[in-house]
Amino acid sequence: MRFVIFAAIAASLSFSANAQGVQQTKGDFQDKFRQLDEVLPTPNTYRNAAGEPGHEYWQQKADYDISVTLDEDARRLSARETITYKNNSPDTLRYLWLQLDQNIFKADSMAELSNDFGGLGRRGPATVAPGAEGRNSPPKLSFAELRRQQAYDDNTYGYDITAVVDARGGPLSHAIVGTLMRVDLRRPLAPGQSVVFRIDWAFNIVEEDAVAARSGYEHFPDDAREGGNDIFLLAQWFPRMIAYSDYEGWHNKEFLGRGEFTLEFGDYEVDITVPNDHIVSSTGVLQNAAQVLTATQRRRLASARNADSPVFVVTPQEALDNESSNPTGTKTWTFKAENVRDFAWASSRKFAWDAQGHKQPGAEHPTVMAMSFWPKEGGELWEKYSTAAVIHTMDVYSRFSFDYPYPTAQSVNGPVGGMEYPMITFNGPRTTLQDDGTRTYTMAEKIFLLGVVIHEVGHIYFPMTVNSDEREWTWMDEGLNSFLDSVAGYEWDPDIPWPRSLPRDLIDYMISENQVPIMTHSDSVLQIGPNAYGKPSAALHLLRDTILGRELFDFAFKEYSRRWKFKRPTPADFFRTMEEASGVDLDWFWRGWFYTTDHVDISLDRVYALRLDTKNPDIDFARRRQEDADKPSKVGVLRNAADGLPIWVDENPGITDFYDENDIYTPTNVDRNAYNQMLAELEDWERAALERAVEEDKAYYVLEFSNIGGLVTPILLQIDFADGAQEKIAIPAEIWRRNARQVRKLFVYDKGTEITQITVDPNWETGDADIENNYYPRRIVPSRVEAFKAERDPSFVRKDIMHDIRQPLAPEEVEESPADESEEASDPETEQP
Amino acid sequence: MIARVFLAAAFVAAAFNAAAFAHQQKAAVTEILFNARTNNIEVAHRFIMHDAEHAARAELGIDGDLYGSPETRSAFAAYVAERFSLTAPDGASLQLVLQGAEIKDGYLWVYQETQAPDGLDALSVRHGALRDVWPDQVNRVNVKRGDEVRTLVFTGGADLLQVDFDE
Repeated sequence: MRFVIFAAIAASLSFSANAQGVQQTKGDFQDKFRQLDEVLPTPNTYRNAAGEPGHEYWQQKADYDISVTLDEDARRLSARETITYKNNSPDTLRYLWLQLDQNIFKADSMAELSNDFGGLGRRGPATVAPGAEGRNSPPKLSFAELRRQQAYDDNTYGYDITAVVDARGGPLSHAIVGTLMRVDLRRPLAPGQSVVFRIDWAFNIVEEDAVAARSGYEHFPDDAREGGNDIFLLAQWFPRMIAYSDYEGWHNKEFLGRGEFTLEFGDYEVDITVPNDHIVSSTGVLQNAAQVLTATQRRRLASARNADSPVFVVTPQEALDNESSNPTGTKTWTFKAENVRDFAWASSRKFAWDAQGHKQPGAEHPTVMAMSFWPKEGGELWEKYSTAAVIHTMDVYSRFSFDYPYPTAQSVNGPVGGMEYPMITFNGPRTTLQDDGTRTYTMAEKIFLLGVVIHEVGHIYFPMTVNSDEREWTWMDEGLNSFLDSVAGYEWDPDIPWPRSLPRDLIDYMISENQVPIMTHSDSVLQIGPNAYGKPSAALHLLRDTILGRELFDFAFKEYSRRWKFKRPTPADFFRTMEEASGVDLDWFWRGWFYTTDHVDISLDRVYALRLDTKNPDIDFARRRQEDADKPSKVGVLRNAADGLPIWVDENPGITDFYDENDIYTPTNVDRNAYNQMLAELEDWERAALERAVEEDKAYYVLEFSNIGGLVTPILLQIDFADGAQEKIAIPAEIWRRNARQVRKLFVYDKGTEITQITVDPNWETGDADIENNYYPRRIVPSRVEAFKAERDPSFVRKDIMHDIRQPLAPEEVEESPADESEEASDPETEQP
Repeated sequence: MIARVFLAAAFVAAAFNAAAFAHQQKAAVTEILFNARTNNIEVAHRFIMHDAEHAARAELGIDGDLYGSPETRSAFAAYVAERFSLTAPDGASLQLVLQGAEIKDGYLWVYQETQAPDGLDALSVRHGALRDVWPDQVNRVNVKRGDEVRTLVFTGGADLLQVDFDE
């Protein structure tokens, strides 16, 4: 035993030594500009050094033909799929791996068994560990957790796989490993060959609100129909081929619920059989409208193609009427989708449905049907903004990447907060039912709807089309998408606060101790929100608007999107493409923002105002004399004068000598001879330079900066001059390349120019954490609490117009407004100024 | 021994939990600032509006209109103040005064303040706000004193965390 342990330790030591690579072993120089090539994977024929797909790039293809039936009453799906798997890799495959994500809901799944009670292990209802709320505090279960446990008691979840057979119906040997299934092929699948096989399965659909999932049903017990209604959102609902790639082989990692996934592209034909009063929204294009839609619905849908605003296919009133209907049979909706990496759908009799054609002339799909599906609970919020936000997303994202690549783009309301699939997204915002029967929504709910629809539809570009692997590098789709959704958000309404997108939003996270670099495997990221969404978004805003400029950034980003459209990029492909296409070495930027936990804090420590010496004693000595005279008088001498102490030389005016007439700054011929000698010894060009410089007598300023945060960044300066002029200067980040801790910069102005104030990063572009040391001379910057207290005095700043405007107008003789009283009364702990 | 398991009636289900768009981000940031100018300890809590709104609705049982209603903001601030405390190493609890709440830069801010005791070389922090609403709420606390930033992260079972200062 002992020997084994020692061996293991030795191995891990040698690994960590290896992992360090090149090291600085003398002094403490940090090369923040060290090129990344020793960190990035070696380029090869599949992905080249320019960040492009290599000349032998390949990816697999998986086509699906599926028939599925929804049993509404039993809340059960039964289906049969035929998969055609094409092996485009140079490898011969003896077995295939499939994802069985529904198995995460099995009572004995790894996700379930590895759940840490009261811990962070599960996306789901609250539990509290013993002692978590103070010494001896009891463990707690929430009602939601009870509901979840009871759902597990009453139902059996996970896939029932009833057949895995080859094209001729002969059984194929297979092994189910948690959320994965290995299918053993009868004959090895050689490069270029395809294999066809069939899987039959069924599963009980989870109640989304009870179990916490990315799909499931939501029950509405209060609907008019006896027994109520459901909304079904179906995703991760069929056995899907696991990705097989050049950089990872099979991506077969157990599904634990958090890390999403990457998949293979392929063509789908799916027959969906549902109760005949349901409306179905799905990935793909409906093939049999004549069988499933009424003539009126088909006419409305056709008119929506060229409409300027959304057209109802099913009106909210019709949807409300449908809520009390009962099916008289089933209908089969057939959808086809080409070149998609996944397939999801939704079904309910509660759906209102609107549609509007989005035009993109010259594109593969010149008209994209933007559509939304929502129940009455979505109300006016959805009617006004959902389809509009879908179209706005395509407008903005297509400008940054490529034309929207599919014929439909849908937003469906259901129990899922926000989730994306090709051509279809699930979005959660709802209105609130008031006591008087009306439905209202808050501003935050409106921002949620706009934000979530833009974000999820944006995901159809990244990663549904630019197929990065979220389970490994969450930031590649979430970070890029958060960047673009905030670009789209600010283009929707710049006055709406879109949090967590700009460098200034991320300062608190970036200065904190407890964080990991962006380039961390998604399972090990401590806080996924700021790490994988916020910080990469902030970095890209900085890169676009400050470092590269929009022209270079937009060209490079579009090139990345074009290169990897319908392909599978890795981080190195993104980094390399952005550099290659912009022509700018960004290794320092990727290194600082993506591979370290440094933050930005540049301090302007000192400013030296300088004047060139003429070397001429008749000029320079007088200046020295003046400098002496400009110094404050000696305090002791002043006090002596104030006390009336006698001064010897004043008391003895008769005794004077040479030094009373000539101070130490009196130039002599010795000095002049030395000066003339110096001039004579100068080269002609040196003499000319000196003469010109003396004549011009420029004003020199040396600025001394230190880098406190560690992250190298361009130094952005605003310089204010005594004559009221202002100048903006951007010093490239490369100034830090020899010394990342302290640098100095010389500025030269015309004679007599006087600087009064210098400000670093005046527009808060870089995420500089400490504002106070950005000013020279220093300026006192009030803390948040100080600023809040200062603003509390004048009545205007905190005035709540939205609330106050609803208050009744008081009779004229009453002086105090009721709004003021209520605010004071409700906040008794507030110190009144 | 069979210990009791309490049913926490105040708990609500995490109804919005898809990770793809973590709009309900369940992440708050708090700054504890030792203000050398005033010799006060200032506490600024920053909440995502949408998180706070859903929590206010669920936890406070009131219409969660934080934009429109100063009463809702005050109630939310009081809720936060109840679940946040600072304790000196000698066990004395620092009496934080709630200064109020405001919406600024797209976030909901709650402010507290107290005088800094002399010779404080450590601080115990309790930050349970929203952690009784969602099990995966993460509260990140940056303690800033002079040039030093120390971070406490309230996740999982973490309830009371201590920060020590270098002297």
